[in-house]
Amino acid sequence: MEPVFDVIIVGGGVVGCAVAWYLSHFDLRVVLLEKERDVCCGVSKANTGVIHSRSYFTPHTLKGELHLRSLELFPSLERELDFHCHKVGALTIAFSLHDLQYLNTLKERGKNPHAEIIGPQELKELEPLVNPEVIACYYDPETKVVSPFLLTLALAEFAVLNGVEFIFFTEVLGFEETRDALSVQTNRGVYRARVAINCTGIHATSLAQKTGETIPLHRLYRGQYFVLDRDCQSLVKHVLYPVPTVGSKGILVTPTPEGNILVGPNFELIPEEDTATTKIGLEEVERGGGRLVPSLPLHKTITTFSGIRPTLPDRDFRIFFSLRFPRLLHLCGIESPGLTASLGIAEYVGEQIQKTGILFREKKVAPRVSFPVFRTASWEEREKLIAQDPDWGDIVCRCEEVTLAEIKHALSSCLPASTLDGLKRRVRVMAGRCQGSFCGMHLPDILMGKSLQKREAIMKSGEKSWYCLDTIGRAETENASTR
Amino acid sequence: MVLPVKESAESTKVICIVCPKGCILEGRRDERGVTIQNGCPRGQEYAYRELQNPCRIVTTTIAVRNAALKRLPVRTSLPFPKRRIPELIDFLHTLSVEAPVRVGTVLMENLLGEPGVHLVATRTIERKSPSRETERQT
Amino acid sequence: MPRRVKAQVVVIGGGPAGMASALAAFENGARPVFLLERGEYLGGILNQCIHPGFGLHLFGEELTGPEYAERFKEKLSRTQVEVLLNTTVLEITPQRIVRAVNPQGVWEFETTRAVLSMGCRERTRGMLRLPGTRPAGIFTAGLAQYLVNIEGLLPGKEVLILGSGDIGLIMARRLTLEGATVKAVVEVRDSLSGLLRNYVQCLHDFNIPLWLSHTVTTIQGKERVEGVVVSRVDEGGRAIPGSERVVPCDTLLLSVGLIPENELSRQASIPLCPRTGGPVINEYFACEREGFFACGNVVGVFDLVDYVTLVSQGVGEAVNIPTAFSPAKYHLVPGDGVSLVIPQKIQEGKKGFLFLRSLQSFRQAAVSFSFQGKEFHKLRVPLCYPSEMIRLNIQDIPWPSQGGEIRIGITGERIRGIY
Repeated sequence: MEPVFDVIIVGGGVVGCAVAWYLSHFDLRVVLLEKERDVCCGVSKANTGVIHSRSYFTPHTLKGELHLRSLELFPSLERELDFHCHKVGALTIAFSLHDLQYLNTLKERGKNPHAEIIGPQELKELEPLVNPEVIACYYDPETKVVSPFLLTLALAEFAVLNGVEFIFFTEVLGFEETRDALSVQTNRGVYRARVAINCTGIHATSLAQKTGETIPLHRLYRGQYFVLDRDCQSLVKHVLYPVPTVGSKGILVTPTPEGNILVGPNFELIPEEDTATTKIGLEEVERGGGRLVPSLPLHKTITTFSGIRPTLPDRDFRIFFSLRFPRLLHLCGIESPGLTASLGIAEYVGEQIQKTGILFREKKVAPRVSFPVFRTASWEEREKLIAQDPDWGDIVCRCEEVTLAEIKHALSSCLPASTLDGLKRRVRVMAGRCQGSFCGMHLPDILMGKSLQKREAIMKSGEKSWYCLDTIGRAETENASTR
Repeated sequence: MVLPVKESAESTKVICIVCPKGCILEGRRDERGVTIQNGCPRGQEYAYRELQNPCRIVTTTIAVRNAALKRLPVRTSLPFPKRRIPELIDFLHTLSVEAPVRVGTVLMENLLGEPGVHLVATRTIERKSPSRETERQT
Repeated sequence: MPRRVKAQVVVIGGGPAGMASALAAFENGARPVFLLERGEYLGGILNQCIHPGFGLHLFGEELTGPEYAERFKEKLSRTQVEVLLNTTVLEITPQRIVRAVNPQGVWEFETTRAVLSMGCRERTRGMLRLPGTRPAGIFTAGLAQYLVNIEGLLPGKEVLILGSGDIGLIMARRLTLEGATVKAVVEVRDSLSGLLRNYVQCLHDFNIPLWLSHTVTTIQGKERVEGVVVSRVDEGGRAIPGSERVVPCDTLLLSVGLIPENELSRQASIPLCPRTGGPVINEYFACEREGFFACGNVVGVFDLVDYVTLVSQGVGEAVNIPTAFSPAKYHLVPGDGVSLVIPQKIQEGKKGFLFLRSLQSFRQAAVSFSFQGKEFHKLRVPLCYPSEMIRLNIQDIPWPSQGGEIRIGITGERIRGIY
């Protein structure tokens, strides 16, 4: 008989990893199953990366409650994970009297003495490029931005350091209740647990339906984005929100922690999972961004992407135990602001697990220490780093100034990158203005040296995403791989 | 201009690349040989060669052992018959040489029996050094 | 502590421009001269351009890229130019402090003359805003060229190439020789972007179709490229609805232009030209900031490496010319039909070269120079293509006695199609 885990977390997005982080504070046997090769491969990876402040919570919803709980948890999390959100502040832009009313609502909700409604003149000082047709604006200093992937990774790494097991390439196919545990059937065998948590993002409702729940399938909304070159950094310093339309927060203009500017998302209903960008969608984003900042330099676009949000008809989160499998907890409708609310969700999930009678004994945790980032290090720090290890002086990605030392670390850390995308999201190779035209030349070699895979077996992300399709020549040498 | 060639009548167009003008020359083959219509004398000469036995300088890479690099770039010393290029590439895929190699070294003579067409290294490649170090030439 | 070094000349980038300017500076007596290169080898892009076609103007023979580079590497090894490889410059201040790192540590050069020769980078899918999925199998042509020729990897087997510039054409042949199938080369314009001879020897020789007035409008495929949607375009380059067709392929190569790499120039507050993307320079290739020169593709994209070498040698001489930074008399502006004018400023009109690139292909073309709305000089050019620069001697042009803005235009009979 397979060993019994206390908790199986299904899905390694930001919510699954936050649950893993939360549970790793207790003396529990926890495993996380993820179908892809890495954490943060689905809904979590493609969003605006804003930690929305309390001004933007939705009252009288579970979503709103967990949003607020999450905000309280962030400061201690940042210390524990050695991970830092960038407090850039936000401006919500009003163009009409109707919009102005909404600003008052935000101010009431925010309960922040430092937040205020300001006029066009003051706004112009804060953000000179904002549309001059603005009549007023709500300034909220608490809004932060993060890299969704790096937050998820930090949560996951903390969990790994504190005993949570992460298993990749493992897709959950079904469940079976046995006398003392829940059997979780996967494409790679059966795992048994006292409780399992369905954190599968856009797949959560279909998995719930498979277990017999009467829950409507998620409606999938797609949001497309532009990413602008880092040399536009100084143009927009705050998160710029429009007054929201029905259904979404609207098209934002957001500085990212890495110094890029993000424009998006639009909000379009799609029939099935599809993260393609479209001409029409991008044009809509262009118009939306242009309404906030007319001179937005979209010719400085370095890439475009899209993300998906799974929504339920009432637009709230639904977290509930399965009727058929009482040991199975479903998390459905986790959409915006899922990233912000993830810590609150994790704590809430912890409470639900406790209700099943599992004992939560706190344990001593090891803190996570983040790895240095060359680009943001001072010259003195750089000098020291190179003296420790010459790989710090070997710059592989010129656009984002990523060193060989950082790449090697990402390939050998406790949750190592195994794909080019994994590497890109960890250390930002191929994420700069040349989009890998230069470092893409050297990465096959570095990856091969480190992970001993055949060069033609290097993957971008999934199992069939070969970077190159073959090697050249048939002569046997020690350098070239042979067939 | 009439050139002797023993083939049945057919007409072939040749885009002239002798100068950037890009004239289209027409080669007509009949029992008397190849006739080139229009074009300047240099162009007609080019078109004649193209119709008789088109040849190209072939550049590619071959494997190199114990080298700091994975592939050695090479070229043919003279234009090589176009129709045999796939055969040549196939042959070069099986070839490997030992580092160091100096640019200009003739690696093989009379490629696939083509007289006077040799395989030449186009880059100097040193032997593999034990580690990747910063070199400082002085 | 960083390694602090005082230098007379620091050259940033060891491609053809950097090698030639460092060499010429040294030969003209500058000491010490440093050449900083971030790669493991000198030569830059030449190392991966294994095809012939280089050096006809300069050496009178057709060399391959690596052979061309070897000639300069060899010459440099016989001088005391200090070559630092694996060395990446991260910062240049307006006062010409150059900060770099390599595996030995942090370097800080204080230099009298700084030569910018960082070259260019390729336009990417993101810059084209080409929509669709984001699978593996999308490469810029230069990246694919490196993977094939240096790494010995075959990026794909069924390839579509967007852009008929020379790198795209050369890669079509290279990939075909290595066993890939090139489905087509797709060009948004109504004429060939690259050289005719490359069309003949790279596409025509291998029966690779060239689709003019077409473009890629969507990329398909989840993990690896599975196909691309190709559409016909109208006169304005806009995709025509209803003309879409799906071309199944596993690889998309982008050969859609080069962008001078000037992030460091911007840091040093060097004025840039919006048209070229490179520093504004005069006939000495001196920038509009005391002590800085720029040469090669960092200034604007050149057609021939021979010309790059030529102007870089000029820079190597100019580092010793005290008047190189004197105010300019003439300001050259691209007029109708002209995409590029190098240099943008001219002091006296007595030396150096003027490089022009036409916007389109013309037959029976005329280059016209005008001052205050009046044409003062006209030059006949039988054929001109965007892929080939027009090179003129500055001293051959009868510059007006009064200084000011000079507009240069090209007119002629438009050539559509391949030739």
